[in-house]
Amino acid sequence: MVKRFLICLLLVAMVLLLGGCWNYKGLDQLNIVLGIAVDFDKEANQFNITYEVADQASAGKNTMIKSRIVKSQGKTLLDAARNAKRKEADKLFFGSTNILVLSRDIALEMGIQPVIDWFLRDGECRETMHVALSQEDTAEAILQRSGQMSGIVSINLHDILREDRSIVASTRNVKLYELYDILELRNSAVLPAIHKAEENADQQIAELNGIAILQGDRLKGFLTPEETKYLLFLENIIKSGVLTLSAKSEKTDDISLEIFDNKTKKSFAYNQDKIVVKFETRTHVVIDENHSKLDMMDPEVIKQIEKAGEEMLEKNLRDLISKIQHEFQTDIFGFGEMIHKKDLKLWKQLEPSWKEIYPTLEVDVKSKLIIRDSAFIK
Amino acid sequence: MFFKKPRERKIQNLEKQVEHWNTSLDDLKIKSSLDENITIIKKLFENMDMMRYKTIQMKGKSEKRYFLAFCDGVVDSEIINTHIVKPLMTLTPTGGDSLLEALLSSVVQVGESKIVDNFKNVVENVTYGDTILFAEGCNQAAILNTKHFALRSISEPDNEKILGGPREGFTESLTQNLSQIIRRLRTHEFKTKFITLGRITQTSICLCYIDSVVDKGVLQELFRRLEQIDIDGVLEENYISENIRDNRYSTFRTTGYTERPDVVVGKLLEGRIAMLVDGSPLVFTAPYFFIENFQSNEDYYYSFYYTSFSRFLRICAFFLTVAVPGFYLAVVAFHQEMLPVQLLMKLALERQSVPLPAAIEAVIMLLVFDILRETGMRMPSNVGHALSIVGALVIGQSAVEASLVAAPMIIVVAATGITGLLIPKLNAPIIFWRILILLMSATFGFYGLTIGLSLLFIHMSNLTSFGVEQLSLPGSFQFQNIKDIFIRAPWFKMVERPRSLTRNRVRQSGGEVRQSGGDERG
Repeated sequence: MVKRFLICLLLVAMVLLLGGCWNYKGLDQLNIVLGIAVDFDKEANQFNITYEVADQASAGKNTMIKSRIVKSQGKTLLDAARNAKRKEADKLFFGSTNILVLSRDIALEMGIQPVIDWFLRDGECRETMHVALSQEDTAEAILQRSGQMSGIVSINLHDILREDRSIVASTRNVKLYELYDILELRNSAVLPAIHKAEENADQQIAELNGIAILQGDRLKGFLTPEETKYLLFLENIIKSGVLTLSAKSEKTDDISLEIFDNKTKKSFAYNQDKIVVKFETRTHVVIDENHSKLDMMDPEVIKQIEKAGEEMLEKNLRDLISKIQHEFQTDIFGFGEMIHKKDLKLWKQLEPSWKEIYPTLEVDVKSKLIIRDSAFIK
Repeated sequence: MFFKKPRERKIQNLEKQVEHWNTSLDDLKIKSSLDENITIIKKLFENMDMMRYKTIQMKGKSEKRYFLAFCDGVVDSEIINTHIVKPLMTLTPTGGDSLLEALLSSVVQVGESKIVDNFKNVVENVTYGDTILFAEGCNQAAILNTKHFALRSISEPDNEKILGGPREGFTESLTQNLSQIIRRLRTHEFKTKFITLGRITQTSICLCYIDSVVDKGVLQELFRRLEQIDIDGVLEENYISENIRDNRYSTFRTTGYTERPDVVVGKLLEGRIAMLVDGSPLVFTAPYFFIENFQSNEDYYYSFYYTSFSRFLRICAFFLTVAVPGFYLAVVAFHQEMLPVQLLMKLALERQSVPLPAAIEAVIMLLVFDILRETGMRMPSNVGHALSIVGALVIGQSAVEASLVAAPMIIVVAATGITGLLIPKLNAPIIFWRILILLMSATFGFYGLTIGLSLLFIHMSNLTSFGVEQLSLPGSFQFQNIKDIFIRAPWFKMVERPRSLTRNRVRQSGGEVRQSGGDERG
């Protein structure tokens, strides 16, 4: 009986102690990091890291919580994170970080892989934080608040990034683990790009500005917000957004179409050493704005607008693909992955020389635009 | 005096014997000599000044002596004077085999009487308000019912208040309680078995059941366990219940209790057994399902939509009151990354200037709440508002304003307390499991919380009540059985009685009744 009791006690103790997550840390001892900007100082050969942390000291019971900036340097990221403790009473807490901003220089020269490695490897960091690339000289500039701007920059940026796809479709948000997965899979990736837009003389505001294209973990170039929209079409992830066009093919666009629903099919055909990649988009839109004075009750007019829209869409999609194929030469659409999945034999043949084949692939785009209604009650 | 009369000597010997017999009165038979009986009874009740004795001498052609003994305070002296003493003095007994029988049949004007032949019965009955009649030359005594106690009138029980439905509650009188039950069950199948428990209190206990519905196995088991009890006194149902229930060390009660006759009848109709204890308004019921902790008689009197919702609330309340403090602590002290950022910052702000760690804060605040609750229960009601001032102002407001306690903790404790009050029948287990889970969470975070809750579920699913599982596990799932668990199905759907309680399942003989004879007790 005693023996049985002791064995039970031992088992219980083992179950409890070997579970291994029992770090009691008081909520008041947290320095909640909301956003991180990573720069690399080439002269000193060290990382300059900027943290936006929640500022509890200055907040009263009834005021909004503000943020403050903490900076630290170190040879590695962990080193820098620990160095921050030299001037901060409370240890930095990375469990609620919203956004990680990388500097352009890191993406150009060093590659982002070494940077995101720590954030993925460290036990405390949030893997669902958004990753973005700064278009300014430093990443720090994005988190620095200027002028009268209110609120917490990191949280604002996080919300902007998260909701972008369902409203504007001007960028593609990427979470840390997604970035890692996609780099593994396609050896290329996209990151949202952020720049500082002039609001007025003494105030600059961080604004999304399209996406950055990465080949491997190096920066290849940027796409404008407009181009990004078509990229989202091709990736079949566009949820909403606006298409503007001119029904009479004039210079100024006079009709706004709100995207309701889109389906893009990606396929390829292979015959006689020629691979043709085919995109077919099928988009449901509504007319949301009309300055063209055309009669929207007329089916002929609707057809005309549909046609103009299809042409516009096809042209823009083609331009984008060709830009990525030739200028950036990165397979961000995953053509290789598609062939690999569908036709392994073919892929085996192509794989060694895929880099040379990729820019030469022929791409065919077919768009179908369906105007669902004119959003107007007569 | 140099010698004593033989008779006096005999009586002296008797007194010694009485002292010896005091412990086991069973063997002390009533003598045929009235003087001896008088001596014995006076010796037995020596120093018990409530006892009243009266010797009646009949002068006439047959000289007879009677002796009456009764206990003041529990008898109706009116009956004794006009219906016992007066006829004894004036009438002559006729007929009957013995003098006592003759007296009972032709002289004494009392409805309930019986003849006994030993002092054990005499003592038991005389202290319960009966009058004992001894007659010269009889080695028996008559027990005449002259009971009269001051009783509380029937009122609604305070701890089982309902909005609508019968407002009767049990009182301390066994017969009155039985009358409330039997009035609702006008059938010969309603059985009441009396037993006596308690060496000194000799408490009457009545077991009630409906013969055609009750599970005979459970009934036998209950009798078997009752027979094993040897206790000096039974003042309340819990004296017995704690002795005979399954899982005696569990914090959960595996037997039920109620103060309402309509509840008892409802339970009897489902095949349960009720046990009434004289002197206590609480009636024991068994077997007891776990879900009965969440059921209320009101559930069956109101719209099933409404009562299903309130039952759902009660079940939620159980889990909330047990797990909320642990959950809060796990989140605040271990898994901060689980909180949305804005909430995390707000909580961190609140906790900023609080000196104590959250775990200690939680334990203290829970204790404070329990102290307040206990005080509210014990204190005289005319100082009631002092408690609310202390509770609400000092602890609620001032402690938070002085940053001694974080405001979220007050909210957590309040939520825990209020939800706990929703299920008063689970008071005891809730307090223990809440603290256990809190301590587990404080040491191991969510991991501890999970282990604590798992232990709770394992324990709960192991509970039985007279061999019937308290919690039906999915293995023995029966559709008809769950109609009265998470929801209260409408009456026209509850056509069967609970399967694990009875084999006689037909509650309503409607279209949906399926009665199978097989043994599927789970």
